[in-house]
Amino acid sequence: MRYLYYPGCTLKTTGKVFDDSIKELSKILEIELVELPSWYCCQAIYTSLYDTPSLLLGPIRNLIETQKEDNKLVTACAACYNVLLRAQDSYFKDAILRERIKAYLEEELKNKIKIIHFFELLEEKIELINSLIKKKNDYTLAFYYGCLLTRPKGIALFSNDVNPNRFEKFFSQLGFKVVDFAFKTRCCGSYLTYTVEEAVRECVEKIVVSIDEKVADEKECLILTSCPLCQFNLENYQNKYKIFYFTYFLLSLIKGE
Amino acid sequence: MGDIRIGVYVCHCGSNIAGVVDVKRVVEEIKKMKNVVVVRDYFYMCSDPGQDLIKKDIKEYDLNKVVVAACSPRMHEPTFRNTLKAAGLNPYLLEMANIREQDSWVTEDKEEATKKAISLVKIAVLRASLLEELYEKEVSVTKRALVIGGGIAGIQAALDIADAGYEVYLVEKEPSIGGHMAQLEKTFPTLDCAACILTPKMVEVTQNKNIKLLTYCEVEEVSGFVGNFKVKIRQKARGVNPDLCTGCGSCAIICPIYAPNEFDKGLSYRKAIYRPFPQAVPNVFTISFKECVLCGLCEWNCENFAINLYEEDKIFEIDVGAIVIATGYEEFDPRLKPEFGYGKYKEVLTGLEFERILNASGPTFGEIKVNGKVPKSIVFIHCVGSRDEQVGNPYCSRVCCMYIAKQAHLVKERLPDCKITVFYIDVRAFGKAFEEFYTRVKNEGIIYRRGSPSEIYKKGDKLIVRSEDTLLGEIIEEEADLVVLGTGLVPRKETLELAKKLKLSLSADNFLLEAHPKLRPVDSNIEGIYLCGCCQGPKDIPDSVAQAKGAASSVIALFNKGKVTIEPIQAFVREDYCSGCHICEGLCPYSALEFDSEKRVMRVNEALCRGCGVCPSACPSGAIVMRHYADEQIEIQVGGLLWEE
Amino acid sequence: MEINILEEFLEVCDEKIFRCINCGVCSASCPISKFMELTPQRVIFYLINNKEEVLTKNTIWLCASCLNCQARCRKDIDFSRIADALRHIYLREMAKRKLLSELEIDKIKREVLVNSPQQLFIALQRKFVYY
Ligand SMILES: Cc1cc2nc3c(=O)[nH]c(=O)nc-3n(C[C@H](O)[C@H](O)[C@H](O)COP(=O)(O)OP(=O)(O)OC[C@H]3O[C@@H](n4cnc5c(N)ncnc54)[C@H](O)[C@@H]3O)c2cc1C
Ligand code: SF4
Ligand code: SF4
Repeated sequence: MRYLYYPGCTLKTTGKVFDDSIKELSKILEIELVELPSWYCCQAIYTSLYDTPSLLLGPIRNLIETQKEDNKLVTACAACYNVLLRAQDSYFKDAILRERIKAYLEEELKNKIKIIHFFELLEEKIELINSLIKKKNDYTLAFYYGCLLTRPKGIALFSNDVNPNRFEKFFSQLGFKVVDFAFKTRCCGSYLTYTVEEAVRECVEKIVVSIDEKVADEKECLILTSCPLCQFNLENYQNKYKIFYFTYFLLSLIKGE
Repeated sequence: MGDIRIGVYVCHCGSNIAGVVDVKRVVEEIKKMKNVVVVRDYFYMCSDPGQDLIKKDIKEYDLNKVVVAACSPRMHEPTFRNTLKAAGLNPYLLEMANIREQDSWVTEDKEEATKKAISLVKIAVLRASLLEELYEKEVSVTKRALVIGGGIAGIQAALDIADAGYEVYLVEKEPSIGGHMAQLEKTFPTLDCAACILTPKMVEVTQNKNIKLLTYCEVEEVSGFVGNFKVKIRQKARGVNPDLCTGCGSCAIICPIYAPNEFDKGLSYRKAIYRPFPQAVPNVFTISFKECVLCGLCEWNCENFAINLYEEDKIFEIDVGAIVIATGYEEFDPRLKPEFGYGKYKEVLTGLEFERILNASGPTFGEIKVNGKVPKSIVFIHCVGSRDEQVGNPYCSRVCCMYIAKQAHLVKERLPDCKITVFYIDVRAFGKAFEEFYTRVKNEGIIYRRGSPSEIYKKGDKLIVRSEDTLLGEIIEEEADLVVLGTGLVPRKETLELAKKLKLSLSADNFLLEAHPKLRPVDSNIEGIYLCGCCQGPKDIPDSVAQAKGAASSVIALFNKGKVTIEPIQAFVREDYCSGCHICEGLCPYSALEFDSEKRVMRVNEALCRGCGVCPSACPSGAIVMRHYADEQIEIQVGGLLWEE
Repeated sequence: MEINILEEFLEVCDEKIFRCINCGVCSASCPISKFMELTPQRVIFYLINNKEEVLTKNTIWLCASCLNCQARCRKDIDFSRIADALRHIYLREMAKRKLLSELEIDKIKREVLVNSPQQLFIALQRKFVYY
C-alpha cells in the first residue's frame, strides 16, 4: 500500500531516530511511505481562540495539500497527529469557523482526510512482524501513551477506550510481558522543561513510581513511547529505565540486535 | 342530519393567551364563518362560569358542535368533553384549537400570533363541522395484579394490594426477594438495621394468601391493555423443587464447585447450589447452571428428593388487570472511571461492597479489614458515577451523601482511632432528619474536605488519593489504607429491555418515565402500568416505600372501580373495500387486526386497538378508517390552511 | 490592569464556564497544579466573579494543554481552552500598552535548548507570542 506521510519538524531533526526507524520498518514491511510534498509546520499546538481562525490554517493547509493526491495521511509524531485531527474536527464541526478559515484559503478542504497513526499500519501487519522477529528478548514493556494520543475524547486515537491498551495488546501478541501502570496517560510536563523544570521532574517521577509499583526488577523493564516530547522528558529527568521509541524497538527486534 | 350549528369559545387564559393574541379580533373573524352560530371569549374557559357559558349556549342556541380555542387538548380536552356531556351533547363533537402552547407561548410578534390564532380556530371550525358522534365502551377489569421486582418497593406494593383483598403475582428474577435493601447493614438516618426491618416484610409475603410469589422468574412478553393484560412468564430452571426443599443445606455442603457470591458483591464464595443469604425468601436452594458440572453429589445427598438436575425452563401465561414495575437500580460500575483503580487495587471498594463488609453476615463477618489488616485511615469519595457527564450520568443519585455519612459513622463507632476523610462536592442532606444526622457525623470527628479526587494510585502499600481542597485552594495527596467509592445508582440493563417489551418511555437519564413529573409520579405512560422505587429514579428507602404505596393504591382504585372505558377513537374496516391483503396485520404494534376467514376481510379487535393510526395510512385500498381522524376530517383542516380565501 | 476580564473572555472563548460546579477535579488531575499560584478550579471561579487577578497569576502560563482535566471534568469543560484564551487576552493587552517583553530565551539552559524537540520549542513560542 502507498501512503502519504507527514513527518513534522521534530522527526526531521532531534527526533530523527524515530523517523529513520519508521522509514526502515515500512520498507521491511512493504508499506510505501511517500513524504507529503511541500509539507510544513502543523503549528505545534491546537489553539481554540474563537476570534482568530488563522491559528488553524497550518494544519488545514497540510490537509488540503494531501487532498490533491489522496484521502489518507499517515503521521507518527503525537503532536502533529493531535493537532491535525483536532483542527480537522473543528473545521468540519463548526460551520462559522469553517467559513472564517475559508476566507484565508486559496482552496477548500472538501472531505475529511483519514489521519492515520503509523501504529495503526503496524497493527494490520502484526502477523508479518511476528514472523520477522528472529530473537525475542525477555524484557517487560511499559508503554507510555502520554496525552496527545489519548485526548480529547472522541477524537484522538485511543480516546474511546476507558483505559487504553492497544499497544499492550499488540506487544503481548508478539509474546512480550507488558505492564499496565496507572500513569500511562499522564502528562510528561511538556514544554515546562524550559521554564519550570521542577514541574517536569515531578511529572516524570510520578510516572516512574507508577511503573515501579508494577515491576519487580527495573533492569528488566523498558519504557516505550510514541512521542518525541515524551521521549525527551523521560530521557532527561529519570535514569532508572531505558526508554525507546516503539518503532526503534521493533526494528531492533527484527534486525536481531 | 339537520343543519350544523357551531359554538366557538376563545379563552384568554388570563394573560397567557390574551397578552399576545388579540382575542377580540379572533372572535370577529370567526363570526364571519359559515355554520358558526355563536362566538364568545372569556377570561378562563375552564373555570366553572366558563363551562356554564358553553352549557347555556348549547341549550339556548341548540348547538350541535363546539370549538374551544384554548390550551393543549392534553390539558383540558377531558374537561370540555365532560361539559358537553353535561349539556346532553355527545362529547366527541368537541374540537379544540391550541392557541397557547402552539401559539401565544411561542410567538413574540402580536400580529403574527393573532393571525396564527385565527387560522388555527378556523380550521378547528372546519373540522368540527365534520365530527361525528362516538360512543365509549366499557370493559371489565381482571382484578389481579402483577408486581415485577421483589425489592423493598415491590414487596410493599404487593403487600398493600394483597391487603386490599386482591390477588397479586410477585415476580422476582433472583432466587430470593429482598433486593438491595437485604444487602445493607444499617439504614440512614435512623440507623435501624436493614435486615431487622426488611425480613418481617419478606416473611409476610409468603404468609399472605393473596400473594403468589414467583421467584427466579422473568417476564417474557406482555400484551393486552389496561384491565386485561396477558403476561408470559419464564420460570428459570432452578434444579430444586421449592415444594420439597426444606432449606436444610446438605446439598451445598457437599457441592464441590465454588463461585463468587453475587450477594456479597463477589467478596466471598458460594457453592454452585446455593441460597443467596440465610434469611432468603423463599427458603429454598437454587442451582446456578452456569457453574454446575452436573456431578450429581447434591442430588444424592438430598434427603427430600428435591433436586432435579435436568430441569428445564418453563413458560406459562397469566392474566392480570394491572402491572406495577419495581425493578430497582444497579450500582454504577467504577471500572468506567479507571483513574480510581477499582478492580486494580483490592483496597478500593464500592459503596455496596463496603456495606457487605460492615454487615455481620458479610464476607468478613462485620469486621472492617482489608487484606487481613485493620485500616488506619479510610477515604470516602462522593459522587462516583453521579453528576458526571464523562460517564453520561448528569443526575444526582440522592442516596450516596447519606450512605457515606452512615458508613463513616459506623466505622468511627467500631474503629475510633481510624482517620476518616470524606471528599465531597456538595453534601445534599435534604430529607427528613438528614441534616441533623450529617451534623452528628461531622461532630464525631470525621473530616469533610471539599473537592472531587481525580485519581488513586499506590505508593508502597498505601493508596494515595489526589484531590484539591477547593476551600483552601490547595492540592492534597491523602494517604489511605482503604478507599470507599460513593458509587451512584444507575438504571438496570434488564429494565431497559423490559421497557422495550412493555413500550414504556424512558426519561433522559434512562430511568423509567412517569406520566407527569409532578402530578402523576407513579403512573407510567401506559395506562394500567405503574412505577415505584428506584426504577423510576434514584431514591432512598422511605421514598421507595411511599411510591410503592402510591402505586398500590392506584391499582386498588382501578380494581375497585372494576371497569375501564375504552376510547372510541379507533380504526374500523369498511368491509366492502377490504381485499384481505393482510398488509396492515403485521404493522399493527398492538396486534389488533385479525383476519375474518369467512368474510375474507380484516377485522379490528376493539379491545386491543389503541388508535395509533398506522393501519389506515398503510391500507392500499383505503379500507381502514380512523374514527375521529377520518381522511376528510384531516383534509378539510389542511385545506383550510392552504387555501385561505 | 483594569480590564473587564469576564467580558473580554466571553468574546474570545465559548467554553461554558458557568456550568462549573467547582468540584476541583481539574486541579487534582493537573500534574502541574502544585506549581500554580491559583489552581485551575480557582481560575474559573475568579473568572466568573470577574477578578482580573487571574491574568497575573502563573497558572495560565503553566497549563501544558495535556487535557487531563478535560478528560475528567464532570461538566465537560476544557480548562486548556480557558487558559489559552486568558494568555491571549494578557498578551494582547500588554502589547496594546507596549509593555510586552521579549521571551527571555537566554534564560533557558543552552543544552536543553539545543537538544529539545523542535515541536516543544515551537509550542512554547506559540504560547508566549500574541496574535
Ligand atoms: C451502598 C448503598 C447504601 C444504601 N443505604 C441506604 C440507607 O441506609 N437508607 C436508605 O433509605 N436507602 C439506602 N440505599 C438506597 C436503597 O438501596 C434503595 O432505596 C432501595 O433498595 C430501593 O429499592 P427498590 O425495591 O426500588 O430496588 P431494588 O432493591 O434494586 O430491588 C429491585 C428488585 O427487582 C428485581 N428485578 C430487577 N429486574 C427484574 C426483572 N426484569 N424481573 C424480575 N425482577 C427484577 C431485582 O432482582 C431486585 O430484587 C442505599 C443504596 C446503596 C447503593
Ligand atoms: S447524593 Fe451526594 S454524593 Fe450522591 S450524587 Fe448526589 S451529591 Fe453526589
Ligand atoms: S472539573 Fe469541571 S466542574 Fe469541576 S471545578 Fe474543574 S471545571 Fe469546574
